[in-house]
Amino acid sequence: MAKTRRPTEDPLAGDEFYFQWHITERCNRACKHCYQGDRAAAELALGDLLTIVDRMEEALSKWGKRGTLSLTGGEPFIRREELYALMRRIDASKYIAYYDILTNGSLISEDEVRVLQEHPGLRRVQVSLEGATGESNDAIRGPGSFESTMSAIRRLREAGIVVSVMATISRLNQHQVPAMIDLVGREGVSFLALERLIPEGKGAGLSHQVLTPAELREVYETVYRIVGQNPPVRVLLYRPLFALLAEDDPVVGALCSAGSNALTIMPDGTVYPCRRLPIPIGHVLEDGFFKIWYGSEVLWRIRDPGNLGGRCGRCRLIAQCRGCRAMAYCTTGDYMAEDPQCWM
Amino acid sequence: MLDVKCGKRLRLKEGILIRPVSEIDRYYIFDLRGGDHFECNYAAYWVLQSIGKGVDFSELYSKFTDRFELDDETAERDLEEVLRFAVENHIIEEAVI
Repeated sequence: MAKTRRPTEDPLAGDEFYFQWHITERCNRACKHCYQGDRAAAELALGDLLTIVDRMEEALSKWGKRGTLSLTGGEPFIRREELYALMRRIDASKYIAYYDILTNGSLISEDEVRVLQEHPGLRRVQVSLEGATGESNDAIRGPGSFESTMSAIRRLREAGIVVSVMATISRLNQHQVPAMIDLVGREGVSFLALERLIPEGKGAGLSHQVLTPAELREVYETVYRIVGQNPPVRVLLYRPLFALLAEDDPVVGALCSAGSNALTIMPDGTVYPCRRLPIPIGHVLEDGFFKIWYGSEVLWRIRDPGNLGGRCGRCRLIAQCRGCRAMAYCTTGDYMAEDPQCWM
Repeated sequence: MLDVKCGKRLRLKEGILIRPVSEIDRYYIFDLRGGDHFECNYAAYWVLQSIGKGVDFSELYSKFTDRFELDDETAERDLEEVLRFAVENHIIEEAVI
């Protein structure tokens, strides 16, 4: 009657496990909406960074998962030598299938492009853009950033490197989205990801620029309509709340990966459920991934949809959406509260 | 046979976490240090939870029999199976008092 057995796979995740790794918080930009605060965190030395890769591999091996990784900052090219050393190490990993670099693009010269071309594990480079014109983009990201980002996109594309663009949508740029889709498509960008503004860090002062549910719905409906017209760039729709638009469309909407198949590592080794949900749940060097992943009460609370509050807890789409826990946390202090941008 | 006789106290090894995963209606044992994880049913979960709270073998046997309304032979066999698995997989150990 009493039974125990050793399962073959981690019970909490799918086939893949994603690490978002911020190797620095230093940045050469001062974007208005940045989720970072004013003070940059301490940074780990290269030896510790390489130990973290060992820990990732140990966890992935034990869990039987295929690892994926984003290397980012701050601006990751500020730690260029450490970044390249990590890339060489990860290229050789049996457990990490590929990695992306998330950057503002401003430090990518021809020299950087040549180095990036030599790394077989690099899947793509993601740059950030907030508008389809210099005026709209630079109002958020600072003077000259539009031209700098566009130059980086062109350099990377000319070298055959796959490029994606990430935009953070708020009232500051909500009407730019169709033009951005058109622009990045013409520039040969392969993917466009749209994130919502979470008013935290430097962006805390922009809470009045967060879209209302009706405004967000309008943006998402516009995006979904454009996607149906087969635009030249693939717009990634697997984000919470997109499911509300087309609940039967399998490529639209997704559950948040926090607590499910992802962790964020900060420059000092602190681990968060998600970069936008800045609740420390351990330290990768002091605690290790196993203690954090299995032992964090924050993660256990997130995993159980029975803990969801408000409309999220009562929603008929609970298997497909569950909202953004970071947005709930940032606006209410409770990461299990309803997503305040939901329009249902 | 396990060397767990009346009066011996058992305990969970350091770093062992036992908990239900309610979303999938299952019970798991996690080793927070080595990363191993094991699935168990409610009865095994109950046994290990009891050990985690501190109990000696005779008390555990008695409570297990009552809780699951088992005859002595079934209770002994089931309990032995769980405890053997738990010892072999470094989930429990004898407490040194």
